[in-house]
Amino acid sequence: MWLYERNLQFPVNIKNPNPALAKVIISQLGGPDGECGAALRYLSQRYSMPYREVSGILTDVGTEELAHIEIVSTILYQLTQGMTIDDIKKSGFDTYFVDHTAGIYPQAASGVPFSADTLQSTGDVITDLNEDLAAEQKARTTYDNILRLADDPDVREPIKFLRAREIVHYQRFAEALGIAQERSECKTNYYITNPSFDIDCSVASNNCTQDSINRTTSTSNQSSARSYKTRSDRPY
Amino acid sequence: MNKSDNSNRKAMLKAIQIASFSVVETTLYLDTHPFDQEALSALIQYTAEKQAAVEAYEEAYGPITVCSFYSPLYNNIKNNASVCNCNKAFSWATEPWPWENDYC
Repeated sequence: MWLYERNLQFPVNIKNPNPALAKVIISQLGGPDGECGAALRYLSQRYSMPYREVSGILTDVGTEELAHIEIVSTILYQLTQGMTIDDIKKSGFDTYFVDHTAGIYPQAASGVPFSADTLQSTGDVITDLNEDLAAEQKARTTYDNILRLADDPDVREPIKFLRAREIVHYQRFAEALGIAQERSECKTNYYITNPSFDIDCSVASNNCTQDSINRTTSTSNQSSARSYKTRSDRPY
Repeated sequence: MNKSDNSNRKAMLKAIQIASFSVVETTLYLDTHPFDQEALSALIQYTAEKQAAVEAYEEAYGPITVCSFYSPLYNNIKNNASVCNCNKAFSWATEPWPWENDYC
């Protein structure tokens, strides 16, 4: 569960409305590499992680991403307060305004609504952590592009903070990947099991060969709901 | 709330943000280095700093989390008629929210 703190993680105080800027920054709310996707990605992936430290970093980074949703939304809210109809028409904000007025709606800068199509959760610790590493770099690139487009220091400061967080998260996810690879019983092939599905990964991965999987299959508990039977159909 | 009072309030919120950041950053580090004794000691210190900053703010301006609304500390201050002549209210709902301009 979560407990709300009545404070932003980083202060946002924008004095001048700028709907044109809001129109691009909104991608970091509901765009392909935005904060909504980040929070949902990590908070969805954490359940099936085979190592508690990895679940821990996903929980805590995912929680921080919720605070980043709030910072980006606050930037959007403050950039769109006190706009005139003339501002809206001239800035190109009219295409957003017609559907959402000055409400905060998670969408990409292109207008595509937020979609879970932008993220993945596979139950596979190696796959998911590589997805997370890529996600942090993609978000960093988007913040770089926002910094190329934004002049207002009131906007740049919180964006620079958010950009720096992507780099820290990347570092922590890289360490988590290291933990997962190191702790895998099978050093030469840690791709051999998907811990969200395969039972007793440690047994299956003791020997990294097809033979060992076959042996494990024949001796495993057949009454288990997660039967190894399905594994014999796998390409490896 | 007058201007100087608001700038004092913002300064106290900033103190919470600073301590909170240290807590968040150290927590993420400890997630992947759970046996780092130096980081563990730092987390204990930062958590105490955050707690102190939150309590100082709540005493003066109201709850940071809904849980502290009925905490003894907050209750003593706000429900004491000699300190506050205002009507009792669920100020969690009526106070400004963080996204409002000039909140923090």
